[in-house]
Amino acid sequence: VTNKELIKFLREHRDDKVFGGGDFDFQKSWNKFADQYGFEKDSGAVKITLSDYGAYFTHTVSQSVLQPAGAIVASLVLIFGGWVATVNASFGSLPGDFLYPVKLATERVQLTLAATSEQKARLHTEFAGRRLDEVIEISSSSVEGKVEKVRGAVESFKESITSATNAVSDIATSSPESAAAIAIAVDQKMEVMASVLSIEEVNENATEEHSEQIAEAQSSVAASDHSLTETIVSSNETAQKDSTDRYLQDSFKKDMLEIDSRSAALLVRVDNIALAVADGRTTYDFSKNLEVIREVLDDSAEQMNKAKTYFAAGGWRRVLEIVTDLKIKLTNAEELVLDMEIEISTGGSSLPAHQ
Amino acid sequence: VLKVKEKILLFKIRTLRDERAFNEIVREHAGALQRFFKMKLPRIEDAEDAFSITLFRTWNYLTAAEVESLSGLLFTIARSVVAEFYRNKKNETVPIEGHDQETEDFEDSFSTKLEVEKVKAKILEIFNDEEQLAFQLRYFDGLRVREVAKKIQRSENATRVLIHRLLKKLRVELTKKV
Repeated sequence: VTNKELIKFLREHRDDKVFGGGDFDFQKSWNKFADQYGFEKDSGAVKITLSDYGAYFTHTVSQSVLQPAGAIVASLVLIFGGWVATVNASFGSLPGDFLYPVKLATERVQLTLAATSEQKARLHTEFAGRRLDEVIEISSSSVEGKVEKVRGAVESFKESITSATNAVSDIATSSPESAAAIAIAVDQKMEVMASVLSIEEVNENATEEHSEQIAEAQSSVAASDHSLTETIVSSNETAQKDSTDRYLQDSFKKDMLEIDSRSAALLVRVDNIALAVADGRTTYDFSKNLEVIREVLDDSAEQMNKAKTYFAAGGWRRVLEIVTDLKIKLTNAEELVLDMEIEISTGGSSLPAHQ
Repeated sequence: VLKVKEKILLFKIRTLRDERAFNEIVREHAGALQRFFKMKLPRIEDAEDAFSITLFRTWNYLTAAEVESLSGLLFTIARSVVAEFYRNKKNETVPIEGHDQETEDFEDSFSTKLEVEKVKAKILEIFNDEEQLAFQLRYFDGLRVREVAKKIQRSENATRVLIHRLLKKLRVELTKKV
């Protein structure tokens, strides 16, 4: 067989169904996609109008000329106008302070000048850390409008966390090999932030609203942590490296220890509730709820055994799936137990029935 | 480099979340994408599901970020969807040989059918994902080397060498068996 003959054969059979050929109805496939994901079905031809051209070119000019020019001018003003000291002074400012806008403007300039997604991911993580510092500092102070300021800082913290995670996802799409290193770096910083938040969580002087905001910040960190771990696992699947293996090993070991200890604590709480029921300290029928939680704990033990087997074999994707699933189930079970404990201690009747 | 029309459509998607612009922009690549999924996945339904998932993920990406190569992005996502499919199915029995039901409709002679299936099996066996895609785009979709290069995000020269090497490799493998 010569190359020519082979090419001829391939071209002759290009429409063969074995080679994925045959009729293809784009509209039919689009309609199916539109049904599944709630998109518009009727998709006539798009007309590009003059205003589209105008909007696009205005946007392009502002992106490619005005923004960099603005950044350069701002940099020159900062450097030559003797503003460096002002910027330095602004680093310690808090929301509401006179210099706080300078701090934010400096951060925006840094982001504009960042050339790659990697730099952006690192900057967003750095800024998230700053917002967290602000949250802690304001909440322990007695400044005017404290509640609003903390709320604003928590929102900014969540935005920075999301932006950092999105920047890592961008790298994962364009360059999976280098995504792991940056994902690990960002994840390590997130871990520090999670520790700070967990200390703040048990702050006895915190108001209910503040506790809710801390809980929101914690769930943002948890979501980002999951997304980053997913990126590291995918990268490890594409190009297995000792560094990602080691990182995943440590990270999942911590997760599994956490699940073990949460399960053990939950079991003790469930036993205490069962004891309270037996002693007649509540009239509410907890049998269904207790049964459900015991099932969760049994399932958790079984799944943990599987996770440990996959862990030993380096099956990180499966470990991630199991650990994520168990954390969600345990959180739900913990909430249900808390409801029952409140019911017993208050003797109230507001406990929702198990869904 | 993206064409101006494509850039404007992408701009409309990103800033206005314009679904019709998205329809227009993926239409051009849909044929090659469908063939890619049909070649790689066991059933027509799997190929259709993979197509929908790929469109949805591409939409999410395009509404959040700017892209430099749309076709590169589409096929990167498509390859990850296929990899995910086999990862999820690894514990199940998946028929990896073609579309059984469809192949019954072939009007080709028995011997040609055998040859075609043998060539496909060999392509799936000896080429990795990227190589299969490059080969498919060049010889089944009939794209020029420059267009193939854009879709697999390599230089034109590297793609030309790759395609030549793949054709030679396939020829040698097929001849070996004969």
